[in-house]
Amino acid sequence: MNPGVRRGRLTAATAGSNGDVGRTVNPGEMSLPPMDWNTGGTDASWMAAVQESVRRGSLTAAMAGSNGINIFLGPEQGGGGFISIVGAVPTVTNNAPSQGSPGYSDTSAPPFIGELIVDLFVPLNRQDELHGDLLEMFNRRWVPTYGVRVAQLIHVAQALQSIVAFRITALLALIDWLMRHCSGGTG
Amino acid sequence: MTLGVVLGRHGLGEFERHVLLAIGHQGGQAYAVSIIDEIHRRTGKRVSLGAVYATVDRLAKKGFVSSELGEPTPERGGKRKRFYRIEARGERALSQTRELDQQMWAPAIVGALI
Repeated sequence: MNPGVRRGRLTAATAGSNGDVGRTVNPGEMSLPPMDWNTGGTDASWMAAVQESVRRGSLTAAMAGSNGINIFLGPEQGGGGFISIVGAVPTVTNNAPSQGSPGYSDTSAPPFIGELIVDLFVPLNRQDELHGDLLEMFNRRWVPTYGVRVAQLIHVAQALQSIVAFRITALLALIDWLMRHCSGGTG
Repeated sequence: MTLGVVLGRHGLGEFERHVLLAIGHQGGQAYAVSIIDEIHRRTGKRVSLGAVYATVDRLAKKGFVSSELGEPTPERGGKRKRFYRIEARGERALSQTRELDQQMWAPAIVGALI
């Protein structure tokens, strides 16, 4: 077990050949449990803690590769520094929306009215996909780009536009049918 | 018979062509959000979900694409994706449209335009 990590303090000297430290981490700054370097970082609880710290914004990013892992320190650690751990580690994926994005919130949810519009006006067999697509766009694009409030407005607008699209498709089919039948079947 | 007559009212508009190509590029993994992403990546244009739904429905009615529902996924709140796949008829329509365009952009005309 790495003594530097166990003591909660890493320096270039204590990390030795196992790691290169870009910034000193003081005790209590990081809540990562100890990790056995010799296992190649397969400790699941340690990786879960890294991912949780990334999610909470304690760490801005954790990028892993075949040669090691770079953990960039977030605002809680003062930012700007990084820890580079040399050695094979499992992949860490940062799925968290970037910090500093306007209106980012763990609890942001699509507006009720948008969901209701879909429930009321979209054909039953298409509701599932539309709910899913709107939710994916909401969480992945609109909230990180515009913030929660604007994203909610966009959600409602897109829900409305989508029901118009579904209705127009049905209306166009009806017009097409009428034109062909009313013009003596020549259309 | 000319290509225009062959295509008839089953021809492709510009946006229909973009959507059809975006579906074709993703090999059976295309769904509404990924179609939007693909079009944005290749053209820089942002399109709405509604526009994509209306277009793929139209393409499906023409027999150019088929669709099937995927499995529910947690990141989409347990909702399913509808995956679209380009059909042989759609591929034919694309190549015929391209040929038609090339005929319209024949060297003599292009030379006069540029």
